[in-house]
Amino acid sequence: MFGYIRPVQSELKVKDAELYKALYCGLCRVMKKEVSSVLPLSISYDYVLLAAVRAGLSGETFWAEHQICPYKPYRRKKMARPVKALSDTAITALILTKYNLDDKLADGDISRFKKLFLCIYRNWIARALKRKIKKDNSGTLAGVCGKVEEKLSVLHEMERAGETSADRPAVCSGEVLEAAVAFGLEPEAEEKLRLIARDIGSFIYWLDAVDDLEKDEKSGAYNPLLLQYHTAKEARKEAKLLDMIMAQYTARMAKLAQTIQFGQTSKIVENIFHLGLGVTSRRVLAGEKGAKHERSV
Amino acid sequence: MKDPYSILGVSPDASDEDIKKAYRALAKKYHPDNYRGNPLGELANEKMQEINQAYDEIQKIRSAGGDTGGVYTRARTLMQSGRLGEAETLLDHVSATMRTAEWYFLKGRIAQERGYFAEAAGYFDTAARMDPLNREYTHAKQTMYTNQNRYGGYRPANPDVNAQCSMCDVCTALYCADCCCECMGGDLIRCC
Repeated sequence: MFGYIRPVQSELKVKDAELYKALYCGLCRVMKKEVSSVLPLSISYDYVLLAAVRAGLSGETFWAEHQICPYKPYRRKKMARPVKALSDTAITALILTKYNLDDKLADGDISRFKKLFLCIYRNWIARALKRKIKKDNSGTLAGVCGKVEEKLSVLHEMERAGETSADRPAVCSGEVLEAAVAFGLEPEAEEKLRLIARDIGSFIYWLDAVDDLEKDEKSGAYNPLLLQYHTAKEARKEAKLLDMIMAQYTARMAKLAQTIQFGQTSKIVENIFHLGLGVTSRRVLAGEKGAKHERSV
Repeated sequence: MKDPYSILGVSPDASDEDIKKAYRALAKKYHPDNYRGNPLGELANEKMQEINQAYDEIQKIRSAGGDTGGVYTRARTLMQSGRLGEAETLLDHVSATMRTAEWYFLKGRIAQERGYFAEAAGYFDTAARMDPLNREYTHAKQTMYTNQNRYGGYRPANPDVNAQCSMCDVCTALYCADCCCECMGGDLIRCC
């Protein structure tokens, strides 16, 4: 999760923008209180959409309240009260963070200082995940982690084999996210969440592949677009095709989202699917910096 | 139109001979001559038309060499019921020399359903090139690209920056240009 999935804030009503901020802060608080005090380091905007979709599917309502933000204690901020949708999203974030850190550490191409930091962070997160799995008597979380591991191993295999088509690793990456969200809902609702999560995962993979073209070209890291088009410049010439791919994912997600009653978050979700994703993908395709990991809302 | 094979009551992999036999049997049964003066005559007439159309359709498909053994029709039926894996296996069994535009089109549809959009675009492109007069193929290719406008048509390069040129910008630019001209002995705007 890289923070690509965001609404266009200038197009949101004030109340919706406030709700979005409250969701972000509420999710951060739930991560800290219910999962691990260090997990908020991995929070990204993408999780807010997942929380909104979860809440829409389970029919939950968000209530905002003023609370002191532990990261900015000099001001009280509006935060969504903890609900199941936020707790489940925090667990998804925990699972994805753990495997993402495993990946980064296995990469080996990082400085010693960064490796030490990641190692400490990874152990912290891994302990939190272990605790959560132990507490979960139904064994659902263990199953989810197994599925995520299985999909990740397929993805790594593709990368090792030097898969030149970006389609396949993108879909596989989508399946990783799909596996990480598949719990805590009724079967029919879960199916919808899984489908949306799969497309979000694939969409993010494509965006990241395009965004990292120049960086990967320099470092020689795996990037299917570089294998297919040889240079970052050549790959960027295919902007029309890449834009079409992003639009296809967006259209599919938007279509699926129309079948869900989002209630209070409907304007935020609509904004993300109809404006936000388009704007982000065009910024990435144009090679603009800062399309991901933007400052906090 | 319904599946022509089901109208004739034969399976898509039936031989030409079997299809002809089924057609003749049905034509004999529903021939309007058998229903002269019968209130069911009109219905029989409609049925006969349907049978003729179905037979013509099958002949057309098979004479185009595109659907020997009904592979493509079967693949379409499987795809409609969401059995993409089976449809793909069926198509993969068609030898490379027998692959027609429809084969590429159907492969493209499967790829599109699975989210392999780059691959799907390639297949649709090949299908449209092989049979440029087929509307289904060209439409599939075009819709993939026209989908781009579906998300609102809101296309700012950077939503956080107001990149539009305002009247202030125009005035400032003119003022600067006038100053530069005056420094060099000329004059761009006489009144100032």
